[in-house]
Amino acid sequence: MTLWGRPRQVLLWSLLALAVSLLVGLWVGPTPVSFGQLVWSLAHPNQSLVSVIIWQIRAPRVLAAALVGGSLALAGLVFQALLKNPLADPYLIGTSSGASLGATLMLMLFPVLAAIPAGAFVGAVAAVLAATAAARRRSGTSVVTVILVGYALSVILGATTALLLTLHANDLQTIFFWELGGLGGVLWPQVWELAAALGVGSLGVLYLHRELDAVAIGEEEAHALGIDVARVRWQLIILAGLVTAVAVSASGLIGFVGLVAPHVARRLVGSLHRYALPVAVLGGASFLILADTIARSIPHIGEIPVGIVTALLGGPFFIVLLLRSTRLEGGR
Amino acid sequence: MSRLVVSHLSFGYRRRLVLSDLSLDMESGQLVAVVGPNGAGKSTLLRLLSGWLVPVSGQVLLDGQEVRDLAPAERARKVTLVPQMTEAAHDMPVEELVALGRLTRLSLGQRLLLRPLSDADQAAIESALMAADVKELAKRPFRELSGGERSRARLAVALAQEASWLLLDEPEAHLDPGHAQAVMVCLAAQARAGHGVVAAMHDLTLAAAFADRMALVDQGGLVAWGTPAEVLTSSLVRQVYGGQLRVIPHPEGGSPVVLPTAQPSGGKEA
Repeated sequence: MTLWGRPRQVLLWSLLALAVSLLVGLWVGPTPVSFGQLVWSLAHPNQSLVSVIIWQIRAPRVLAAALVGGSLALAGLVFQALLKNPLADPYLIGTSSGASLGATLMLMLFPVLAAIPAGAFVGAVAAVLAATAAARRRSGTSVVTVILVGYALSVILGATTALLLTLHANDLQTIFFWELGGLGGVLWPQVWELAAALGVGSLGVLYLHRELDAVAIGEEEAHALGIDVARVRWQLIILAGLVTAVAVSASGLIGFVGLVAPHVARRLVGSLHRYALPVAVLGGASFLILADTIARSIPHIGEIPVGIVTALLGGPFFIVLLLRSTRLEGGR
Repeated sequence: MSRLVVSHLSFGYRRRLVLSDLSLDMESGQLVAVVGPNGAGKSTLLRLLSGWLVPVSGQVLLDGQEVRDLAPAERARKVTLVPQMTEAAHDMPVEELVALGRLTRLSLGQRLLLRPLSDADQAAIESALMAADVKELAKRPFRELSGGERSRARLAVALAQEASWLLLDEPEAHLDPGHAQAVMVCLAAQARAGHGVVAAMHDLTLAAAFADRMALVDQGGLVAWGTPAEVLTSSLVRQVYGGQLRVIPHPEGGSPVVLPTAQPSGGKEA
């Protein structure tokens, strides 16, 4: 296997895939738009119906899907390295549920829109700390145990959120949205928020990409290389918590993107984070755009939560990985 | 010349002491072998020397400075540790792995991939690959290497760091006699070049053949410290390792050779 040359090739293909996904996402929708019309309105925004549909409804939604997908993939990549656990995903280990509970609490205590992501951030970081504490309790804690503990955490946090929402607003619609994830009704301001968070997150993780490589090998090795392991761990948790929090605030709980995208990326370019990071983020973005396009194109129904689509696509993938990792457990 | 001084060092988990009141005074330019039975505290000692573990009491002084108090980047230029090899393997190419040894010296531009590694970094990586004899494995993923190749690749990472002290936990583990010998030759060369080298070892004969000084550790305490010939006497070896081990001088050079004997109760020294 040659690693040189290939990562760059994969990166180019990932960019191309993202461009195609963006176009498909903009093209497909309840109002039929020809490809020519699409290209024309992209190049010349005006007040025509098609242009408004594309620029004000589809573009923010498709971009939000891309940014949420990229954010979840980034968080998944970081957690997988940090926990040395190939099954880690912000949804499966409870980070997303933590963010969702934090956002809900904030919504009830300080109903200011800008405060919601802050609450989500605190909830996400607290949930990561709980999950990593479980992972570090004993050096021999197995890959599957960590995931089970994380998943239990996620269920508890999700139930608490649902309880709060039921008691407070009796708003089943909102609960449905949080639990299954959806990108309907996303507007431009949220797109900018998502872009800022993913920008900061990606730059931060890129800055730490060699530390991430070293920590993924072993913490004692990382220490010997001159890394302040505790500090880098905190920095990474904060970056991953940030992107997860903003993604969850915009779209609720969307599972498996953070599991699938980093896996496919590592399979394609190896586990060096310098390459795996951009490929995972671009892949996660394309994956969620396409999943969202499917979610809003079901005939006769109109729209289903995108979390259903990602779960149906990513769930089987998770089971395969789970079976494979339990088989490998003896050797670890 | 650099000095690594351990004074009255104790370490334990919960109430069980792993090391108690251990003192050592080591100089750079020498190869020090730390030997002792399983569970004697060799790995713990190396982890304390590298600053990874915090002692319960006592000090680890590198040229008069407490290792734990050094800033991580500065510490990495003074001392590095190659821990025991684990089963888990990753797919990083060897040269990328070795480049991690230069991690603390990278600039912002290099971290964000806007600039290539500096010439000094490239040169250090190159000479580490040469010294550990893994130059031709540079592009290979770590996972695909044999046990001996992995062990040399991990040594190369430490060498690229250019730290004055090199700590190794069982560098000869999983290696056949030829490869074990080659690793020791490389470590001895590092010591000749002025580095301090401390290796925890199980193979007493191999350790004795290469070490300038030897520390025999048992049950968390220092039993003997001196040249291999001084430390590996028949009586000490039997006292610490039990069994019916025999010690004879090496036909070339006279360093102690530890021999197992098959007779359950015999094996008296001639």
